Amino acid sequence: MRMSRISGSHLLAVLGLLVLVGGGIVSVRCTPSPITVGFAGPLTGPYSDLGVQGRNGAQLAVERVDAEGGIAGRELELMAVDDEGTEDGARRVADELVNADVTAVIGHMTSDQTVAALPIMNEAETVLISPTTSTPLLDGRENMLFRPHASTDRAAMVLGRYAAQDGSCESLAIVRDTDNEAYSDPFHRFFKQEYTAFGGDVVLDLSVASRQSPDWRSVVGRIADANPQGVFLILSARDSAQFIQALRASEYQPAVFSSEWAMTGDFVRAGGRAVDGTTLVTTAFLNNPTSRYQEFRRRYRERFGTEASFAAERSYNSVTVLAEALRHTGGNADGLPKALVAVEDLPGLLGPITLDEYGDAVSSVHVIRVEDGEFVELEEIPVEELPNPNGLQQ
Amino acid sequence: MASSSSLSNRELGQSTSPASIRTVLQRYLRTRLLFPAMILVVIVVTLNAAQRYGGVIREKEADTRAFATSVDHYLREAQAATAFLADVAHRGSFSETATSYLRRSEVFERTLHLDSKGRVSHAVPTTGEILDYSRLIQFTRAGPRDSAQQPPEDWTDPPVSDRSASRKDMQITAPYRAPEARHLTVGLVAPIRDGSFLVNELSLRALQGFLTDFVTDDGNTLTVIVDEYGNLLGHPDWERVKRQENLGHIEPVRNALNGAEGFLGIAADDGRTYLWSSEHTEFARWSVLSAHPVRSELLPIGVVLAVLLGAILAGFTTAGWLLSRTLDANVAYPLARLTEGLAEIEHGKQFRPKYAPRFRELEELYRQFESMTAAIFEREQMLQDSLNEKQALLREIHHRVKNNYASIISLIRIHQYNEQAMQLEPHTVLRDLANRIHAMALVHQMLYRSPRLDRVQFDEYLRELMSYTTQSIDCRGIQLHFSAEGVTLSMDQAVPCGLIANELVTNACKHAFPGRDPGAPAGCAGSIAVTMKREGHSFMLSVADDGIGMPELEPGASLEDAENSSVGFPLVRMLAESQLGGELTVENQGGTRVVLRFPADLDT
Repeated sequence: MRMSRISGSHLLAVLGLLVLVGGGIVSVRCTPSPITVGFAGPLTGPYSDLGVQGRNGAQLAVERVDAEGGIAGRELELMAVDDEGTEDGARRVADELVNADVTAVIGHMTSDQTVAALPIMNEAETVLISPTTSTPLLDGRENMLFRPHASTDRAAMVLGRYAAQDGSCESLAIVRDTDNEAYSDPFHRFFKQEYTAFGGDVVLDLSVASRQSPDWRSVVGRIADANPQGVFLILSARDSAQFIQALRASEYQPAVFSSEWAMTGDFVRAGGRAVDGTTLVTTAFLNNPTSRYQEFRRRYRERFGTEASFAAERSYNSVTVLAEALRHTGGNADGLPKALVAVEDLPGLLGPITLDEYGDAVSSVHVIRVEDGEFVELEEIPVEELPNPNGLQQ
Repeated sequence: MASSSSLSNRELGQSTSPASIRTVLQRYLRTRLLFPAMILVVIVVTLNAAQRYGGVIREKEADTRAFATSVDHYLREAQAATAFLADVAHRGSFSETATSYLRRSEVFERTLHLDSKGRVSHAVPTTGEILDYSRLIQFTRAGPRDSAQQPPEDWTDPPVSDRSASRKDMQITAPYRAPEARHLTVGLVAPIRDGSFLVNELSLRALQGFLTDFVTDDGNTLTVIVDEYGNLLGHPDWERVKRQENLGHIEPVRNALNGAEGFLGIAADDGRTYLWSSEHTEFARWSVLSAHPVRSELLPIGVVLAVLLGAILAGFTTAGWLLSRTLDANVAYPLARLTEGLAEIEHGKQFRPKYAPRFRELEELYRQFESMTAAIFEREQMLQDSLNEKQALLREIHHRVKNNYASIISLIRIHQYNEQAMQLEPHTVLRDLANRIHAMALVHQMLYRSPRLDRVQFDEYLRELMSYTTQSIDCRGIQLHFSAEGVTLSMDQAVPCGLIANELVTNACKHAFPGRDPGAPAGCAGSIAVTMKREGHSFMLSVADDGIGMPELEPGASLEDAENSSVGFPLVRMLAESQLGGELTVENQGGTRVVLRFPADLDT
């Protein structure tokens, strides 16, 4: 009897302490755990413009989803990691994200890194939605990779055809970065075959390794010696800007064509006036005047202080697609691949997004030119008029 | 006891029995002592926690102000250096001075002299292939954010001071990765009078080094610099700056970007929770943020408060327990013993405390209770004695009644078998019998009038008896004398004595005074003396008259001879010997005197 009374008094004291100390913990524990979404991209190094823009775009989309109530009452949370733009880095962060048990990963931003990380993602059955990986080498494969944008094969062909016909450029020198070979190699192949098929002549075909800091003046000198009418670049924005500045500093002034890879703010900023007149090709036209896209650009500018690039736009779209699929799975990773391939006519920033059975998308291609530091559309080639890449040997 | 308790509950209108004093004390201690004490402690601890928390917040705000002041100082020095190099550039000796300056200082990554179109005139170190800076540097002018990142349309626009450059004219750019630069930079842009510009690319890595030197970093505190959009410019983790992270998603940072200063709240970053405070720099639209881990800042407070709370509560609990124990030992337990003592009274046990209570009121209660139980026991014993007496008396009465009936039967049979009696008139026989039965009844009458139900005042009895007897028979002219003062007899002895006295007086009245004048005054015809007195352990009853004696008896005749001469004598003898165990003697000289001696019983 007495013991029970003592215990009761002590219990009261312990309860008091528990209420005080544990109250905060309980309130924290009651909050639903967030859905962690990984982001993998080059946040440092020469390709960091893609990675930083991609991460920021994804962050903006995550904030929008959370502001709209999240997924099944749970907030999205972005876990961004740096693949350093290398294959080893891509494999390392893939392991890191898988071990962190993320629900899905947005990334990578360059094709080489996606190709390196994909086996790990396939084995872990973790969905990888790449905003900018556009190598056609991954087309038509049933795996954990999903791309809510078109691959570059058709865009490369369009640009090759445009350079040969509309650009009045009968001869070209090609400079490509072998440090992102999964992207640059097929782009180079499709461009070159289409360009030559339409009568163009590739007089010089140069490969550079961007991580070895090429001597761009020397490259310009070699091209000047070959004296083609144009130069086609498959380089990152920063490398393209440096090359073009070196080119414009010389007396040799050819027309310049570039892949979509360089089409970021860094290209215009670092290239200065020298990049004006450069012709690029893209499957995502940035100046599309839809209100949704303009709103996105405004919010991006307010949030990060810079202009959104295609990398930011595609990352934003990737998160939008992922959120839509997660709504169907109740926020779970299980069933996510099926939910993703079921995405159809989802409103994206530039238009409806539909994924095919392999998780890829097809979109129109835009020929763009830099005019006074702005990307301006020259021509849009709708999907039905795009060249067929299947006729070419991959 | 149970019934009285139930009655009590009914009287009080209670449907259930009241709680024990232990429970009452326990509830009292909880509700009046422990709970209020706990509430008081919680209030005190909460106030203390709030005070300590406020102290921590003020300390962190002061740290952040000092930190911001340092950053401002660093930037002012960079401004001064930029103004100096702008002067130098204007005078035409830029390259040598800039080279010399950068050799001694790591504040800037690069110094550039741009022409009015943004082209690089001179750069130390060189910019490689990048010779057009017109779009690389973005001004962060005051004004709407939408226009903040727009590059100037014409590089001649920025104001030009009379001197080459002043701090007021200087612009600071958004962070950017400069060509061939090792680290992220921001540009300090100073207009020069000839329309050109001096750009010093401030090394964020060097700024990081300065922060590291300035801030006493315990490895947990974050000292952070962000631009007006939340882009990291300085952070203890340089990799995060390199990754160009943006902290705008953190609410306190967002508040700082919206102009808030001071303590901004608690929020998580990179998996850890911090106390955030901010201060704006004067020169750039930067925010300096301090993020102190909640765990390391508040845990000591929490531990101290928890210990304090625990100690106070333990003290209260212990005090409550001790008080409860004391009350239990001094009040509840003694009262329980008292209750048990009350219950034991039912079983005939008298309450006797085994120890002395520890306070006066309870001692008095015990004493009164003990006294009360002693009185109860005493009265109970008296009642029991009385009951025993009454029971014995009742048995005796039944026995007497039976004896009386036996005596009556004997009286009747004496008349039935006695020859002389058979010669008597029936009414005489009945009268004698009635007198004898009356003598017996009179004993009972005297008994229930007596304070003692087992003894009879014989003198009073004798008076009553003789009064009746003399009225029933003719005793006129005869004087009766009674003497039995102080004699009390039990019923066993009173009845036969009464019968004997009745018989002898009746005989005397009938036969001792023949020929007397009924109209003579009392005593003229003769007298009868009835005497009863104590003689040691015996009683002596004598009935003497001064009549003619017993003429049929010769002098010295025996008692048997007297029996033959009277109906009453056999009865007298039977009563004297068989019921009283006495001895009768008859003296027939100068009248008749019959003397009966019988032993007194033990109670007499």
